[in-house]
Amino acid sequence: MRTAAPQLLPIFRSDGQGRLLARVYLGNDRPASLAELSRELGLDDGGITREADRLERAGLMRSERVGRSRILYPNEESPYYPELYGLLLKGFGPATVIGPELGRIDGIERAFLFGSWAARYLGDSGRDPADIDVIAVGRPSQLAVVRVERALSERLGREVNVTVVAPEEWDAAASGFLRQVREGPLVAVQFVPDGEQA
Amino acid sequence: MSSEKLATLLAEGAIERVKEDRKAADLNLGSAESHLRSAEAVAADDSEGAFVLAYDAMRKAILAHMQANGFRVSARPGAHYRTGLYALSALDERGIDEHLAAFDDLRRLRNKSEYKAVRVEETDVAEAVVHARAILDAVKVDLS
Repeated sequence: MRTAAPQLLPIFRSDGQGRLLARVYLGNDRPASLAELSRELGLDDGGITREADRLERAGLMRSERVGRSRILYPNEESPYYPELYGLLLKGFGPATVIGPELGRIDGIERAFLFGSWAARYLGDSGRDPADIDVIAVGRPSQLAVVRVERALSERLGREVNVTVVAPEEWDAAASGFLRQVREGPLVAVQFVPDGEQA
Repeated sequence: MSSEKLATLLAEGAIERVKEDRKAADLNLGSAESHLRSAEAVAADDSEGAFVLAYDAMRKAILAHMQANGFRVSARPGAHYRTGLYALSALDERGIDEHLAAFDDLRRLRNKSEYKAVRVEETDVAEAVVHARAILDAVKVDLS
């Protein structure tokens, strides 16, 4: 697993290690075997096994044997668990992955995560939410939005729902739904990754 | 036509074998043509309606291909989704993959516009018409 250090959060040994940790920590509702993780993340079998061993020895992950498969889980008993979860969420989670994709669509001015994933970003603990709810402010082509929803849902393994709102509707909080969204947890989606100039 | 991919869809129960029906296929090709013309005609006044027409033109073109070749999608929820799967397998050698993949995007947008108060824009209709035209022409060539 000789991948370069992750650009957004260069504190992990490699991007591969960061993504493995992120998949196991943020996808706890979809536990996967080492073989499945290696396919899903595009990492070689030997490298991912050594990485899993290292993380397990450090007490950051645990694994269970089911037949010949080794299923990986986050070790929620680890003293590092809450902070590491937060780092992975910010560095590799939906807001980070969604931003560049949405930023490529003409006509989207701003976007926010709302609902349960946004609550999670803001520190609310609890079960990992299933769907990822996004508000996009602007006037994009709806087909472009649907296309990005499909790509992101496949990439994140969760349904991504993007609700498009015209700027004046957003500014005026023109409906009960929008008022509710604006009063609830909101996380701004960054279109340009940290460290890059817009 | 990729018989291997179609065999997989048959084995999964996504599609079924039926008697070939060229007459039904021609009727659907005819209505696909009309829908596409109507979509272009009303796009400026009624983008929602035009979008549904363009989507249906696409769907009926694929349906015509199925009927002419003796297939139908199985009768359970998700029939439109499986229509798209059929098209991806049956028309994979016509060089229109981009348009075939768009069928599923159109399907999703049609559902969103029906159930989630999403406004379809005129640019969406214009794009849908391009995809529908490409698929309809490919089906016609395939069946000629």
